Amino acid sequence: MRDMLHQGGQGERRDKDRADAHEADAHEADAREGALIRALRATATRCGLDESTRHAMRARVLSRAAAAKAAKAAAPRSADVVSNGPRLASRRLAARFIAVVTASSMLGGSGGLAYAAQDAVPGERLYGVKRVTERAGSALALTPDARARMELVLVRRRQAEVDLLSERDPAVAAVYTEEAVAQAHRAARATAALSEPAKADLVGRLIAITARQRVRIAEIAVMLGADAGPGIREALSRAGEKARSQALEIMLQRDAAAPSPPPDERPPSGPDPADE
Amino acid sequence: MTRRDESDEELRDIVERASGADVEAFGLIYDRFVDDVYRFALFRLGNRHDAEDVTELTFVRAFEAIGRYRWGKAPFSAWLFRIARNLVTDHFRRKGRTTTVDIAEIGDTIPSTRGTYEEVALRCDARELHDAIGKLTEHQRSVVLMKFFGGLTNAEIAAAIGKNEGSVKSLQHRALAALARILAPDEET
Repeated sequence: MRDMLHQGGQGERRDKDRADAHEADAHEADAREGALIRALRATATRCGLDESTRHAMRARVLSRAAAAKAAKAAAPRSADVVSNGPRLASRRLAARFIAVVTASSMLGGSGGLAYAAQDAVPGERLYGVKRVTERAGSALALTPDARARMELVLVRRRQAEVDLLSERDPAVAAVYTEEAVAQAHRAARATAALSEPAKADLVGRLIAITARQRVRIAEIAVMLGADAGPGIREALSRAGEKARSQALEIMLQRDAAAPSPPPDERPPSGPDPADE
Repeated sequence: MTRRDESDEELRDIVERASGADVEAFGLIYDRFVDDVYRFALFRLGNRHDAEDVTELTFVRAFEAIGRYRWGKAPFSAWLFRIARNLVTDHFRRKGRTTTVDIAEIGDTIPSTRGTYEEVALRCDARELHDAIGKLTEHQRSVVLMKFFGGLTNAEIAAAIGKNEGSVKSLQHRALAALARILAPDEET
């Protein structure tokens, strides 16, 4: 009996030890889990999108959304077929087919569809063809000079689209302006990679286009009626700010590219250290 | 009550406006969810370039499909993350599993102040974490990324991956235990 009691006491102690061990393990697991959760959250807070990428992406997403909306309004039946009918794989095939047809028609010189798409603006059915053709053209620009020239052509096109859209619907133009400004940014990066004398010429043209861009942004701001929501106004305001800072950067590129005066025209600046 | 619950009605209003092809309202959806979707894609794909592509495409697809979304059938964030998850799967199908891991650029060592187990976090940088998450099962990975990088609740995750909330809790628990084993094997007893 005493042995049994003794064994029972030992059993209770073992149970208590086991319970303590379980509790300690649970605390340990909780602590480990807590540390990991903090680690995961701390990492997550550090890896958001940077502001410029977020804005450029926003402009692209909303311009594609505006284009899709306008296309649907123009041809609701066909739009319904596109969104509900074919499966994803067929759509991918169709997109590839269009890319191949436009690229090959462009390369081959016939270019019927590609040519017809050149005047399309966001919201029109041929606009997608136009952008695919442009991508094909960009892929063919192999040198920095060719790339910069291509980007410049695209800035002009985006700006022409904004001009046209602003006559039709200033609100759509306001949203799409960010895309035009983003294209000017891509062109500025391309011209920055150039060397003289091509750089000065292309930077000069870019300055002219971005000046026109800023004027148009101001005009759209005036054209936007009282109905325009804050989101549209904010989009335009962001585009305006970006265009202003970009204009400054391009001016700096121009100044840096300007040839320095010959030695005899330099202002006197004290004794030349090389003389010492 | 979470921030999301408080603004549930506000989100519903925005989603309904966007369903009527209101581009401005869709812009608000983008502003609200873009970072969450991007973080999910970044830690799933391992490089910024692909993550940006998938994020952008997620929102383009969402705008195309939002007219078919029905409020109440599934949480909106779950619906959006399902699109992102499918696009990530498509991406891997197209390009294979090999990714250029530039995720280490994200940052330094995670700050930590106390405790033995904080060392797990202390030693762990973004690259290590990405690699460790990559060793989890598909569902565990989705749960961890949606919860801690996408900011989804268990109910939202459950709807996104087609499981119940209990399974999500269990997956999370197992995922964290597995991550602890991978990141701090010496502390295993």
